[in-house]
Amino acid sequence: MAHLSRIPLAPLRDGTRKLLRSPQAMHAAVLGAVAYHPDAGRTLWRLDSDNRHRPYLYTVTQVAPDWTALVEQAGWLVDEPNAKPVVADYGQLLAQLQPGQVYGFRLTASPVQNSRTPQNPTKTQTDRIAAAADGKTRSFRMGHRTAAHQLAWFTDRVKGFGFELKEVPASAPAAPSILPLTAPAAEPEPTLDVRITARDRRQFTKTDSSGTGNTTVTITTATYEGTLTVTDPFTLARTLLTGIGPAKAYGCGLLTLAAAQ
Amino acid sequence: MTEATTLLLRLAAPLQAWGDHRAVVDTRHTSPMPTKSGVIGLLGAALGRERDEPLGALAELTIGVRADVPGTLLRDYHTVSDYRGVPLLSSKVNGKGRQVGTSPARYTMTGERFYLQDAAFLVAIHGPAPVMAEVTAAAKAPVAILALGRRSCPPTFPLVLGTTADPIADVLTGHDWLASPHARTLWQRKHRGASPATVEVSAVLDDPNGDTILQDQPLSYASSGPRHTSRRVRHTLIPLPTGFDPGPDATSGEGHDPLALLGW
Repeated sequence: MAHLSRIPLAPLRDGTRKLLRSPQAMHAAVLGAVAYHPDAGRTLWRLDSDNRHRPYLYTVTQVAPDWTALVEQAGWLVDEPNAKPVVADYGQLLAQLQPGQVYGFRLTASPVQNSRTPQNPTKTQTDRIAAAADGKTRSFRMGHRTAAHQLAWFTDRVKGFGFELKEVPASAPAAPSILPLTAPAAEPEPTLDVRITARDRRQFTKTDSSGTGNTTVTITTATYEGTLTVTDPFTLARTLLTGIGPAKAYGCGLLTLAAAQ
Repeated sequence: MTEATTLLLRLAAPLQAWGDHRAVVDTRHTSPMPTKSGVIGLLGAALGRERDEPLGALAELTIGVRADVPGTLLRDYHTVSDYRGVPLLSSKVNGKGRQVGTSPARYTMTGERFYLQDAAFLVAIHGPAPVMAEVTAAAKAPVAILALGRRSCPPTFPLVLGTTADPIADVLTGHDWLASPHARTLWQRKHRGASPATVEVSAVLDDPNGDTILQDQPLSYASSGPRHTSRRVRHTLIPLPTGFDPGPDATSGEGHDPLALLGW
């Protein structure tokens, strides 16, 4: 049974700063909450810092989490209900999804493209291409870096997620001019209610799989917000539980629904 | 005990600069709020005092400063050189008492000055009624040209907001937010369109039991070098009504609450 949790973090505590600095550390802390279960399944998390003094960690876990350790390290010590972690049964929401329902949504994802032949290969990529015996390398994953590409990455994939984006009603027509010197404009393209509210490029180190040195991980992230209409509840439920796009261990891919604005 | 009066000043301008203890030769810092030394100096200029005159009653005044619009920091980078292409002079003098050139020859000197941009402060000055009457009259018709911390930072009108008999703490709590309509628009843009009913602004008040010590109580403005001593102050946050139309999510500040759907 899946659970949605919200953990308010105290940004000035040492433990919190360690977690905010490195998605690697944050992921370890989140997994610690479900470590008791032998097979905890896919865990998703996202950091929401609308208010930088009061960041919230949202998680979706397949099993019941225990946030005691994380709160001891990085939670608020004030005795107030809003400062405590909240764990809600996610099945309740998944069961009530119906086609045609309208929700507001938020998603932090890592929009990427894959290519075997990058235009400006980095040193690592050049080395790897040169090292390949038959000239065949695995394709390279590269982050989309412009807002236009990041938006297109999301809108192109929406169909497979079980929802469609709500269209923004067309604005009022332009004032008619006295002399119609130009032909009237064609039907304008529908505008979708989705916007990128934050973009980031995060770099942090992680220990090599061999355990001998550190490698630098770079991820490009974009936060999408907007309004969606449910088309396929089953697919949407799967999207909510399994996430969207790569870098799911690093705080990307968790889609959450809220009441439409 | 004689009658006491509080004078209210509005210190707002495109540029302000309030020097602090970081008096480095080529770098002129600004503190984030008007200093007591700066405000008393401004009153001294309004009264037409000479630099070397003793401060007298001005030293006894207490002040409180409220940062209605904190403003932003501006860094102004300078280069100084001689238009004739002559090397700059050093601080050393030769036997005839003339300054000698730099060695090795130095043609350009760099420096930087910091300013507060578009800030607005409410300053309350409290003291005995006769002194304050004199000071208020002078602030309305100053003898010398007034400046907000640096000669290049003239104040904007209105400078004097009025006088009252209330103590500083009441005056700072009770006076309206000094943010202009444009500053309010900028504030909302910076806070993602938030429109709360009140905002909290910071204030610094003279208080003998305060928990913070500032080194800006003026002793002398003598041209040989100003001298300061310490004073105790108290920092507070003052809620002020904004006049905004409060939105439905004004209290929470969260744009997206997934748990509300689950009954939390």
